[in-house]
Amino acid sequence: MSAKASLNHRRTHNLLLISRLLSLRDAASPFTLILDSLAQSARPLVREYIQRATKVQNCKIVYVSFSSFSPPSEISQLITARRKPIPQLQKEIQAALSNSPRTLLILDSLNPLSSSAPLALSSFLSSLLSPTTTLLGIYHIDIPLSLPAEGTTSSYPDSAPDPLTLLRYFATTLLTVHSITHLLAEKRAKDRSLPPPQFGLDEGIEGVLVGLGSNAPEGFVVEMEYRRKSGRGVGEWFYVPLKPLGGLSSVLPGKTEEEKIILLEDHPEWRVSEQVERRKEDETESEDEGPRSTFELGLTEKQRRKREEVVLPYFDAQREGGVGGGGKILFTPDREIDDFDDEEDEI
Amino acid sequence: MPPLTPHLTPHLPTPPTKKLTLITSTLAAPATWYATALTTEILRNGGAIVVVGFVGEDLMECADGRRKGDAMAKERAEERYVFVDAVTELFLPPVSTTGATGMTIATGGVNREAGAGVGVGAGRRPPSSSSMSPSPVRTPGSVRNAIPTPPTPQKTPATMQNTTTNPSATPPAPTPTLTALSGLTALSNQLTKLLTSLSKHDKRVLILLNPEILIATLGVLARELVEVVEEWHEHVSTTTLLTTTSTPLLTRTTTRMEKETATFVTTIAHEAAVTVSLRGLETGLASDVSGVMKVTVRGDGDAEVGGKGQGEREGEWLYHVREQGVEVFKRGEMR
Repeated sequence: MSAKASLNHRRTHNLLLISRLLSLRDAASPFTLILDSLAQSARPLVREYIQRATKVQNCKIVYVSFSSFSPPSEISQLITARRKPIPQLQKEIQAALSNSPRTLLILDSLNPLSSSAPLALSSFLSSLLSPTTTLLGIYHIDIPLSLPAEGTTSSYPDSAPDPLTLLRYFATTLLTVHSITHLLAEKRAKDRSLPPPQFGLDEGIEGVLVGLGSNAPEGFVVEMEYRRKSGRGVGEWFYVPLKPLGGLSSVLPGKTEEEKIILLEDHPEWRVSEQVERRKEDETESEDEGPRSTFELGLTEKQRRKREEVVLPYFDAQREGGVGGGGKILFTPDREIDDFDDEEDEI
Repeated sequence: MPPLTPHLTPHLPTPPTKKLTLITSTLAAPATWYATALTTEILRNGGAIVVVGFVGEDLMECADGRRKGDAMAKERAEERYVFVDAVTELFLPPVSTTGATGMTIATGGVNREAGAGVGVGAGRRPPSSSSMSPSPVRTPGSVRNAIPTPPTPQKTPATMQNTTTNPSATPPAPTPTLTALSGLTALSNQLTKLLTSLSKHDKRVLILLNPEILIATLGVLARELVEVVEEWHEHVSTTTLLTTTSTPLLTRTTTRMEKETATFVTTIAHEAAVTVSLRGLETGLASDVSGVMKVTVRGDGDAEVGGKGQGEREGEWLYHVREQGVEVFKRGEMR
């Protein structure tokens, strides 16, 4: 029972946390880094952020597009960073942030910046932070990074940390999105101790870029790592449904509307094997029945009496005068034996 | 024969939503049949297409397209089909006083046509000239489309002037390193001009054939190439890129070229709403199946691709290219 209580406590606590993060409440996380891949894009999560931000009063949504071909709708301002030197871009962003009480600043794809100006990455990002701004950065982990070559003005030393490592270090919240179909397939394979299936570029087949089942329209999985000011990190896996999941949303304490995000463990297809065990535990009162089947395994009275009267054959054979002579070995030699010699037995 | 048409609907332009689609192919499974089928389908639906070829000749001039040769003439005249030959523009040496200029130094009418049709040219000229380099090696009129820009009398003397000053101004040999990016910028400017001149059609489609070649040949960075494609994308409803995804160019990242090509293709794949991958069968060659076509839909969330939702069109199909056309069918289907 204590396991269940602690699960409930963890569930409530982490769901409250993720809903605080997504609604930008209390400036919970100044810099949130979203890591996505070809298997699952960060767009639905960003859309989720934008939808909740539009419900917050006076929240301006600024979208800085580095390499985005189709920015989402419902944003207040779009700044394209194409071919702009960093100081100019900084000025533009500061201008956009200056006169609004709260801002959600979304940087689409930190990859171009990491490959063109990795030295300026940290100073650029810290210049954008302010008490009223929440910074949301998206990084694609499967785009290879080509750092500036040695000998150029912005060359990046070999010993300096990888831009992705730097970004993970700076982030106060790290959200990694995964594809639900891929995760479920991997879990099913793991439950049977089979090697997990590979998708997309990992398949190793020439010509395959994106695996089937990527970007499922039903929903996606978010792996959250939230770092508190004290340094303690909270990690949890959530499932965000994009289509209604049939009654699994919950009303968190202190809120009026439903929260549609659930823990990944609560996803109906996730813990299939555990659910079977739980069903067994719940049915302790039906143990007397034995295993459930369509035919009778019990005995009626008449059948029991008849069974007790049966004499099994080995009982008879063990008696001295019974069939087989009580276990003695009886040897009957053939009639035409002529090689029988008594002296051979005296060894 | 099971038609290919339902699979092409994600690529069709649906203004005002803009989308980017990606078609990848390998050496074992080239995508020319797909591109020609797509072009025909878009033209049938009333769109205007600009095809920019970075490798090879006009899409509709190859075997598939030759059957529809007459139809293409009509579309070209209506300015609904434009082929831009970027190979000539960027790589072949500029025009000298040989037979090519025989085309340009002529009466005003022909000159205007040549000049107008070549408005897309980018040369290795001094940037001030609106260059016109009809390819000396190509048959006249085959690839260059006459874009009837409004007759600009001032253009004619300019082109005449260029032909006369050409012999002195042309450098003897192409110098790729110095003018790589400027060549791309010049091509980009000309293409932007072309796209804006077609703004009277509301369903404009831009098809880029193997733009990742520029990373290897011109030495541009993947980032710069993505920016250039983004700029072109702003002027059209749908951009479709055809790229090759051979394993060394996608997963091995030892040389600069491999890294940049992988960066470019994966960046486009992240931004593309629909990705169609063509590859050969894993089991080898077969006489009745040419390859596997896999369609993955990213889904934009706000505006669903094709309007119907992605479950229907995502999946793997087998295809077989034959003389009469292309068959597309599911694995294990009786046919």
